[in-house]
Amino acid sequence: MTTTEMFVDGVLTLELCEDPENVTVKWRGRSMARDPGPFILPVLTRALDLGQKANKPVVLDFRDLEYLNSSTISPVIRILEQAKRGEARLTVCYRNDLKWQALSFSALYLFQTADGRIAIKSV
Amino acid sequence: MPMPTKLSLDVLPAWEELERVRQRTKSFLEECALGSDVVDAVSMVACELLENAIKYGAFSAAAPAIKVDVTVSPTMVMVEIQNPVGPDSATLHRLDEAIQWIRGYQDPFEAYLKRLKEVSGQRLDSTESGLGLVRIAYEGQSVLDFFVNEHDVLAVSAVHRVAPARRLEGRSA
Repeated sequence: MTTTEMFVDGVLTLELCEDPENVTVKWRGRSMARDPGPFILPVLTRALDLGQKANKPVVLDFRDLEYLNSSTISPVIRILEQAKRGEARLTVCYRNDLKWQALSFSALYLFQTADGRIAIKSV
Repeated sequence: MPMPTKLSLDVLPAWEELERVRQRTKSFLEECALGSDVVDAVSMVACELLENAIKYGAFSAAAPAIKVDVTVSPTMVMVEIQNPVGPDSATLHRLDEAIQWIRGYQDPFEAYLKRLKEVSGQRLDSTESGLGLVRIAYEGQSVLDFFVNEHDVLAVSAVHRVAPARRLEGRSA
């Protein structure tokens, strides 16, 4: 069974999807809010909780994101750091053919773990 | 018809203006036959600088707006954002410190990684970012500078160098 919940804040949509293999947060549109944390963090925290309860990896899928401001990067990397310190399995997924995505997300390799539990992957 | 070389926008200090400026900047750069990588990078730079202007500008009835200029030449694209600043020098001091700090790194990527590490260690609910300027240097591949004129108007510029061969990169015939 697949369960999907949609969260919309202006021009940004986060789609939280749980299927038999993964818990995925798909990012769509543009993240341009002045303080995006109060919208983003509860969704990402819920994704991590779902992943932990069901013992499933969490995927943050940015491939359909058109734009994000630097205020959006902050809550994302805080969640990555939290996941790194815990036991969650989390993968960040981005498009390597879009230079802005390649530059922005490849820098998150900082948060990768040697065992692949936290992974930053381009497609 | 000759290609335009400069886009000038007068912008209200309202968050809703960001998307309009982003779209206008993208359209202008595309008209200038710049590749999609440059268009994405420079429009991000314009938005990040505009966010700072909206957050930290000292607006009044006499100085109610922000000026956004995007200038294209054969070798570079420059974004310049002008906004009024108040007598409080703390904002300018922080801006100067941030730009000097970035310049202290030979590669802005190293500065960006260092800032990412710092921000990742902050509390989840922290609203601090401080990533905007260093992101402009790294991801926007732009050199930052600023000055304040005699009318207390701050002008922050970001220069993105463009190799001539890259102007048409990413555009279909």
